[in-house]
Amino acid sequence: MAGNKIKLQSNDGDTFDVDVEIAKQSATIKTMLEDLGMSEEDDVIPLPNVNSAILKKVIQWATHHKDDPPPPEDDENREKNLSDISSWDQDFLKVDQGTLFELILAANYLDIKGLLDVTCKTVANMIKGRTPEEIRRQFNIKNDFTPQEEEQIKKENEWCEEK
Amino acid sequence: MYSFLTVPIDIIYRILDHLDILTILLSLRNVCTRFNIVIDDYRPYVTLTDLNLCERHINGSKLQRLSCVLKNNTTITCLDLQQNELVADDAKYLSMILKENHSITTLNLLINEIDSQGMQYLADGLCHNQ
Repeated sequence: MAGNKIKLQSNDGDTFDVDVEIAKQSATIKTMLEDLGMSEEDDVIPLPNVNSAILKKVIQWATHHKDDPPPPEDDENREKNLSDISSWDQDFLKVDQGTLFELILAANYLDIKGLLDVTCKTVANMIKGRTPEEIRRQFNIKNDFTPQEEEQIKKENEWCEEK
Repeated sequence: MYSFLTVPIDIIYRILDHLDILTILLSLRNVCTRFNIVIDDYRPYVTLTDLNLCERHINGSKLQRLSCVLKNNTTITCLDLQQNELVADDAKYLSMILKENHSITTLNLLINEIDSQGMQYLADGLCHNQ
């Protein structure tokens, strides 16, 4: 089985040849191959929710992480450790916000837990320790509270999380 | 093109899972109405009963913001503020919480700097607490 390739097709029609073992980091693709009995030889797996640019990034990430141990299961009480992002991942995720959120959605759709975790952590790091106004600026969000609600929040804006 | 504001709710929850409750309550919840609504339905927030804020350097404006959140909260029953830097003026906001919030049954203020004037405010709050 080693060395087998499958074809993944993005929603804009490009096809990518990917090692089966790399592609199987996506639980969605793994299920398609194993449970639905799709053959690896000739079939093209269409991924209607992912465009070429993002699929290329996802394959790049999965290729780099192909030998990683499987990520631990979700645990509600796990340590909220935001600093354990590897330097390769940090460089990989130096992208514009649109791309970052597209990657999160692709990781969610393809069910790649490692990529979903690291992208969500990256966004969490952009929020941690910021005031509401700083978060609005960071993510280009409009303040849409009513003047009354705003008045209450204004009183609170001096606050900043301790470093 | 997606942004933080337009991603689906379950993605926002995924991101919230990596943040501590104080950042969620005091910063993110006040960014815009969508986040305010989304966070009000976020399970760890909805089911939060013990708010442990020991040694979080809470006083002044931070407590003021917390009081705005807590006065309408009906799930938190235990508020632990021990070893912060609360002074008499902060007790005014605690008093406001006590007057309006009727679900907190345990309030820990061990090792703070609330003097007799502050105690007066607290006593006043407790009188109106049911």
